[in-house]
Amino acid sequence: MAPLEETLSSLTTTPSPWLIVDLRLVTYISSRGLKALVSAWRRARDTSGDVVLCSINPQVMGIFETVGFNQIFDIYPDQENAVKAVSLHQQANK
Amino acid sequence: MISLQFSIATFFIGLLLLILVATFLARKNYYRLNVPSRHSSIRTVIDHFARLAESSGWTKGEIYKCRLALDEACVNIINHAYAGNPDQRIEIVMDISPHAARFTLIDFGHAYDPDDVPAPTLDKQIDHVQPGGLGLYLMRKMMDEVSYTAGPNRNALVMFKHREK
Repeated sequence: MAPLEETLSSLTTTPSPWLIVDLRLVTYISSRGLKALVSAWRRARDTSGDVVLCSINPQVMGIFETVGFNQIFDIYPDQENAVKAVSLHQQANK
Repeated sequence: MISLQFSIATFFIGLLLLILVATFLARKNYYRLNVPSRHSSIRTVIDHFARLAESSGWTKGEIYKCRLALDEACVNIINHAYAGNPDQRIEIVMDISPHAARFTLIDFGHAYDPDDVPAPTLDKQIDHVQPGGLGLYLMRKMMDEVSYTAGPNRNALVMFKHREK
């Protein structure tokens, strides 16, 4: 298993996980990375959690749009905005 | 006198041919690679492509798209045509000009019918698409033309992209 798949898999085994994936340093993504992200998103959603993304490089964003990730993931411009949004969601769900 | 005129004419025709060949070679970057069917080979392939494309004036965005298509094509060959066997070969021919790029990838493994591979959609669960389906989808999206010829002894994937305007 690749490091990204392994990390996301271990982080989404807990019940109701809320994950913010900061992609600031990601300059390239292929189908393997896309599958790892969507698998984590699905596992999190299955237990009322979520995976949100932030700080996406424009070229990586282009790939996300090509495969429709912008329709399923909540995407934020930076980590600060992502943390705020996730906190609001968690408070609303309490 | 006639012999002298003939020699001069031959010299100029030769010179003209030489200029034409030099001009052709200067504007085209052609490269043939033969790599083992291992994931570690993909970096070699992509590095070669990036060098050729940069020397032909391709932009980072264009290189990104071709890189992704090449990456997915190699992964599909390694994982599906060769079923993960690292001791097979992939032949790759790259033909890059300032106007377009053509990649030909040849493998000697299992063939498939690309028309039988459905495009992944979110409602069909992208993480459960047919193996290689997402890679093939990305190749088609990144390149202008993708064609696949399955043969009894070898399969050829050809990908073509015009420069973006």
